[in-house]
Amino acid sequence: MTRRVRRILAVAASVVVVAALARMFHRPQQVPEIIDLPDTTAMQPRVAARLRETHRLVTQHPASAEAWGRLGEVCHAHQLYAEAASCYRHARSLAPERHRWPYLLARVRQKQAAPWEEVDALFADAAGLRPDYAPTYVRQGRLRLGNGRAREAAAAFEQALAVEPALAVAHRGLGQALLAMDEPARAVAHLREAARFAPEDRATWAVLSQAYRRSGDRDAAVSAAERSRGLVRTSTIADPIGAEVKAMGVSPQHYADRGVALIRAGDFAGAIENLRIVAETQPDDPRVQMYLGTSYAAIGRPQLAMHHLAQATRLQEKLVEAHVRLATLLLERDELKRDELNRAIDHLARALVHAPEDTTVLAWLGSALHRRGDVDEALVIFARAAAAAPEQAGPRYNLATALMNHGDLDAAVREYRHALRLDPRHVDAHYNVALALERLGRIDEAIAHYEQAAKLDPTHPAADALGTLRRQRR
Amino acid sequence: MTAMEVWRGFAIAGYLALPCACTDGPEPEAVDWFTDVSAEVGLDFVHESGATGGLALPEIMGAGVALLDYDGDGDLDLYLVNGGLVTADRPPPINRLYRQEADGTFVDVTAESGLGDPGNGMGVAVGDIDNDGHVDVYVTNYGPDALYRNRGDGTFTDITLAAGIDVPGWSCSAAFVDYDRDGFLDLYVTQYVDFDPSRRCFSAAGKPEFCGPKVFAPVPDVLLRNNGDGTFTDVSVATGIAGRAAAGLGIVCEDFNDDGWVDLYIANDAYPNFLWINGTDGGFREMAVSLGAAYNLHGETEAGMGVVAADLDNDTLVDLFVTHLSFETNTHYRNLGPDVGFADVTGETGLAAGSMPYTGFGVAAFDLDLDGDEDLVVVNGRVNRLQPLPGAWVEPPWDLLAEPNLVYLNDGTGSFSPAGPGPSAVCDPIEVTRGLAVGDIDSDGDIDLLIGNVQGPARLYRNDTPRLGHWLGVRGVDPRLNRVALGARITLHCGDRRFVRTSRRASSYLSSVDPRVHFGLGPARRVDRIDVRWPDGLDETFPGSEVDRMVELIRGTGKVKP
Repeated sequence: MTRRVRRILAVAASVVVVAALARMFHRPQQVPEIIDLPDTTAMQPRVAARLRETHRLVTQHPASAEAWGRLGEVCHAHQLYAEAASCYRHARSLAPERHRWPYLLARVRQKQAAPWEEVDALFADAAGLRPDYAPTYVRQGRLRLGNGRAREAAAAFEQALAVEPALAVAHRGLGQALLAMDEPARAVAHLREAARFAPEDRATWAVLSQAYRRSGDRDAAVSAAERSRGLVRTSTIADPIGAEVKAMGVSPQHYADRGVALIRAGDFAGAIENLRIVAETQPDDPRVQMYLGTSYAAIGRPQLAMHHLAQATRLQEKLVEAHVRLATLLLERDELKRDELNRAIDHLARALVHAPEDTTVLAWLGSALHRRGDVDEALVIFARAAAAAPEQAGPRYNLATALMNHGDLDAAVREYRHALRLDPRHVDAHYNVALALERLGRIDEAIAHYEQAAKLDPTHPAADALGTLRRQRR
Repeated sequence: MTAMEVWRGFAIAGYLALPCACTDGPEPEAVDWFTDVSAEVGLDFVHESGATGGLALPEIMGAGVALLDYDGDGDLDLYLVNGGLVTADRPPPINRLYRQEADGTFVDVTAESGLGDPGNGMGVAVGDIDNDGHVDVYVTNYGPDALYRNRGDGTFTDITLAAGIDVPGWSCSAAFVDYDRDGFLDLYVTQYVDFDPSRRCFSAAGKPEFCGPKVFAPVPDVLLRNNGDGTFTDVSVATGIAGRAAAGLGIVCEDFNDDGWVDLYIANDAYPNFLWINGTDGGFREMAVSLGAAYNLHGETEAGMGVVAADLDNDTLVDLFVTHLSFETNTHYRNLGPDVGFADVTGETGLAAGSMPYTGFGVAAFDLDLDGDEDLVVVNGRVNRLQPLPGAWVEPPWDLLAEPNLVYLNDGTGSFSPAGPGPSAVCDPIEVTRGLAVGDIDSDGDIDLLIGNVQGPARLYRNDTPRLGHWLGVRGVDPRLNRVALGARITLHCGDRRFVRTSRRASSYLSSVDPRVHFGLGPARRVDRIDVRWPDGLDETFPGSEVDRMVELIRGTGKVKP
C-alpha cells in the first residue's frame, strides 16, 4: 500500500469516525409521521375544509411545530380532543421551549379526563416556560381545587395574583380554596375582592353567599345569594391563547357564539357577519334570526331587523324576546301607522301568553294600548305589571301615569306615592305627583314634591314648575 | 422523540380504563358481587326509545324503573317505563308491570293490571294517594302524565282526569310527598324543557347532534296538592314553585334544615339546582344558592340528572350526591349542618376523577357490603354521540352513547374509591343506562338493583357481595294513614354509633325505590334503640332489636314488630 493510499484510507477512516461521533452526539430531529385526516363524514363543509387545509400544512411541513400546533388547535376548537392531544404532543416535541403546547395539551387532556396529576404536571411545565401567563395558574388552581387539593390550589391562585393582582377569577378561586380549607373569613376577603373587580360575576356572589353563611352572617349570605340570582353570567378566564384556539372554530356553533359575543361587545356589524354564516346552514334557527334582527336594529336597518324578528317569531311562537323587540321597533317608528300599532300590540299580546308575569312585556303592552286609546285595557295591564313586581317602582309609576291621563287624580296620587315608597329618588314620580296634587288644589303638598324633584335633579322641569307655583302663591 | 401515535389508535387510548378494572379497590374476590338474574327470573322487558334518526332529545332521556309491592304480598314487584314517540304505522310501546311470584320469578301482568301506559314514557312515582293501603302509580311522560289508582285487587284505573291532573309538558322525575302534613301525599313533578322537535343541533365539529337543554326554554316544575278526596289542585303558583324555571330532572325529598318539615331538592340540567325549603306555611323558599347546593365548588352550574340524599360520611347529617354530564364530576355536597348548608367535597372524597369521563343518571346510596356505611352506584350513558367505547354491548348507533357504570366503596369516613372487579356484572355492560332503583328484591337482607336502559333490556342484579357485617331492615308504618310513613327519619343507636336513614321512594333518576329502610351495621350485633321522627315532626323512641331481620315500627305503639 502506498503512502498516498494509506493517507486516503486514514482520511476516509477519520471521516467515518467523525461522522459516527457526530451521529452519536447530534441526533437529527425526528420528523413526525404524517397522520390520517380525522373522519369528516357528515361534518359541516366549512369544518371539513378547515381540517383538510391544516392537515395539508402538516403534510407539507412535518417538522414544523407551528403546523402541528395549528392542526391541534383546529381539532381542539372542534372538540376532536384525541387528535388535538396527538398534535400538541408533536408540536411540544418539536418546540420544547414554547409554553403554548404544554398549556394547550393540558387543556385537552383535561377534556379527555386524564389523571389530574398528569394535567397538573403539564400546567407546571407550561408555567415554567412562561411564568407571567396568569391563566396557567388559574387553570392549575381550579384543577387542584376540583380534585380536593385546596392548599395546593390556593398556592396556584396566589401565583396568578402575583402576576395579575386584580384578576377577579384568581381572587374567586383563592376564596373558594380558602372556603374548602375551612377559612371562611379569609375566603370572604378574597371573594369581596373578586366582586370588586367583577361585580357582575354570578359565581362570585354565589360563593360569597356560602362564605358569609359559613362565617355566621346569614343576612349577608341571603343578600349575596339574591345578588347572584339576579346575574346571568359567570366570568371566565381571560385567556388570549384559549381565544385564539376558539377563533379556529368554523362550525355554525362557533359563528353563533362569536355573533352573540360581538353583540355583547357592541360590534353589531361583526355580529351580522358571523350570524349570516350560521343562517346559511341553519335558516330555521329562531334564535339566529332574532340575533340578526337585534343586530340590524342596532345598526339602523329597521326593515331588515323587522324581517328577521318576524322570521324568529314565525319559527318559534314562544320566543318572547323576539316579539318584544319587534313590537318595540314598530312603536319607535317616527310616524306610527294604525296598522303598525296594531301589529305591535299583537306581538306583545302573543309574548304575554308565554310570559304572563313579565314586567317588560306588560309595560310595553300597557303603553301601546294607551297609545291606541284603549285606556281601560291599558290600566288593567299596568295593574298586572304592578302586581307582578310589587317591589319595583317602575310598573307602579306607569299605572299612576295612566290613571292620571285617565283623569283619576286621587288614584294617581295614591299610586305615585306607592312608587315613591319603593324608590324615593324617582324624580319623575315626584314631578308627576306634584302635577296631580296641583290640579287637585293641594298646593303645599305639590310644592313639597316639586322641591324633592328639583333637589334630586336641578335641571328637571320641576324646578321651573316650582318657581311658577311659588310666584303664583305670592 | 419516540415513535408517533396514529390518531385512530390514540382516540381509544384517550379514555380512562373502565372503572371496574381499576386496581384501587379491594383485592379481587372469588365471587361476583352481583349477578344479572334478569333472564333467570323472567324479566324480559326491552325499552323502545322510538328513535327515528332525527335525534330528538326525548328518545334518550327515558327508561325510569320502579320497585313497588303493588299487590301487598310483601315482596317487591317491578314497573318499567317504556319510551316511544307515537307513530302512525304501529301502536306505541307500553309500560310493563311484573309481579314477583313466591319463588322469586316474575310474571308480566301488564295486561290484567291496566298499568300499560302508552305515553312517551319517562319516569314513575309510587305512593298511596288515598291511604287505602294500596300503592298508586304516577307515570311521567313527554306529553300528558297519567295517574293510576290501585283498586286493591291487582288492577289499576286511570284517574288522571277525575283527579284533576293536567300536566301536559315534558315531565321527568316525580315524588309523592306530604309537604303540608295533612296526611295525604302530594305530588311534585319536575318539568324538563319546552321541547321543540323541529330544532336541529350540531356538534362542535359540525355533525348532527342531540340538542342540549339550553336550546329550549326552561319550564317551572309542578306541585299538586292532594285534596284528600282523590283529587289534586295545582298549587305551583301559590307555593312559589312556579316562580323559578329550569330544566328539572331529579328530585329527592328530605328535611334538610332539620325543622321537622320536608324540603325538596331538585337536580336541574344546566341550571342551578333548587333547594326548596319548606316555609311551614304552605309555601316554599328557594335557597340553594345561599345553602351551597346550587352550584359546584367553582360556582358553576352543572348538568344535574339524578340525585340521592344519604348520610355519606356517618355524621348523621343527610348529604346530597348529584350525577352529571361527562367532563363534569358527579358532585358530593356534604351537609355541614342545618344553619350552614352544603359544601362540594367531591374532590376530597375521591369522587371526582372517576366520574369525569361518564355521564351519570341513576344513582343509589346503600350499604353494598354491610360494613356500616353507604356505598354508591351510578349508572351512565351519554347524551352526545362520541366515539364508541371498546366492547359496547349495544348496536350502532346506540354504541355512540353507551358507557359502563360505576360502583364506589365508602371507607367509613366518607371517602370513596372504585370498587375494583367485584361488581363487574353491574359495571361491565356498556349500555345507555338511565333508571336505577334499589331495594331488597329477594328479601335476603341485602340491596339488589334494577336498571333501565334506553333502547335495551332492563336488568335485575342480585346482590351476592360477601357480607362484612350485619343488617336491619325497617318499615315505618303510620296506622292512621294505613301506609308506609314516607319521609320518616330513622336513627339506630348501636353502642357509640348512630345510623341515620330516611324512608323514601323518590330518588335516583326517573325512578322509585324500595321505601323500606335498610341499614348495614358492620360488626354491630344488636341495635340498642331506634328513634323515629315521623313525617309530621313527632319524635318517637322504640326499643332495640336483634339484627339481620326486617322489623316494623308502628307509630304510636313504641314496639318493634318482627
